[in-house]
Amino acid sequence: MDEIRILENLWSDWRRNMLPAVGTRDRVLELESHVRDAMDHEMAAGMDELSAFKLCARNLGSPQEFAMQYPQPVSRANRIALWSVRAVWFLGFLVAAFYLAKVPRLSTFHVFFLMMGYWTILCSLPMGLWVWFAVRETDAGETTGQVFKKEMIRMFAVSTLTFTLGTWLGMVWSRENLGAYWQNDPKELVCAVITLVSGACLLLAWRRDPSPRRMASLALLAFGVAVWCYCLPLYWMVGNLDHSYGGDSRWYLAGALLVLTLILSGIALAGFLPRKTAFPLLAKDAPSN
Amino acid sequence: MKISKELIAASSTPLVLSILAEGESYGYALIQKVRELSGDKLDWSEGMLYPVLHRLEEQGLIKASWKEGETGRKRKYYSITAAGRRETVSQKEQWEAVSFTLRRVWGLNHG
Repeated sequence: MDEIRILENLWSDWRRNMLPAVGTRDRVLELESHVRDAMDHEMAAGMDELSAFKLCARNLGSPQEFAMQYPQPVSRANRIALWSVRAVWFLGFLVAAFYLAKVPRLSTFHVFFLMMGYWTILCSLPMGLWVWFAVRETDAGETTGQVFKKEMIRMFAVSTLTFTLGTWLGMVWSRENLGAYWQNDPKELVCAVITLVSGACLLLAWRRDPSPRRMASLALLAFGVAVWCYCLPLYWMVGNLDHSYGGDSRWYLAGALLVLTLILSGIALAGFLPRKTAFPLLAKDAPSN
Repeated sequence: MKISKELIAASSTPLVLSILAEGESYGYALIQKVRELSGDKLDWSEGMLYPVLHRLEEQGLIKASWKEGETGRKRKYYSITAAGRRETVSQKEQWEAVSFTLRRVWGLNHG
């Protein structure tokens, strides 16, 4: 009696685990009929039903193995997460457009593009966190992970484009209003650093085809660099979020910090390359002399 | 002799279609049939076969129906469609071309 109950529980667990891996009840029933056929074969050779089930279910393969073979549909929670970030992202563009149209002090195209760029990088935070902590490992290599990965590549493409346009249009604005295209003030340097980091992330995503989780790490890195650059050198050190051409010690220190940020970001991004390519001297088979 | 996973995967479609061209069958029987035909050299796993069957079904090359087997248990039987028969002919030509080329190369190499 106990053995029957144990067997029923095992079948029940097996079906419950197999369903998300293969996608439909019909497929689970088909695999169940396969296991039962194999069990008949083993039981005819003298094995008891419980042992036959364990052996045949194990021989069939794990749910993870099947999950790798079937494109996994994107779950409702993942769809909601994806569309929520998209909605917030789009809302940011509307706000940027509102500023362009209605706020005289900010109604320049370089501000518009840079706002779009910053907003895109801000949106990469929830996206990266979601992929890291909410997308299951089996999803990460499959459709769900790929969907989020494409979205993050899109974000890098948009942020690189908007930051490049914003920086170049800002240089034109600077020439017209301040007399020079580039004056090395912290705000200009912040734009340059974020443009370069965002572009490097896009290049890595394009050329190296990282896994969704590594892609999420790139998104979090880009977000971290943007927040660090904007908050520390611009706000805490220079004291405002506006252009600053003071030339005092804080101004130089902020500039040095931004250059250091760029160098450290470069080293961190090099970590996404194969070890031999990124750090040839640290590779195990590097020449010793 | 161990046949590589890549070759097993590549040959799965023509094998499934060719076996089903002889008559309808189900997953467990297909695995046994391939094992028997290959003299145990081709060891198909269930994790490989069922996704192939479901993909061929989605492509309209085979069709499936639930039927009661000789043991009284329901099984999902697969049969080939007209499109599947055309695909079998095409696959056969491709594999014969590969086989012909390999035989000629090896024949020349071995003098």
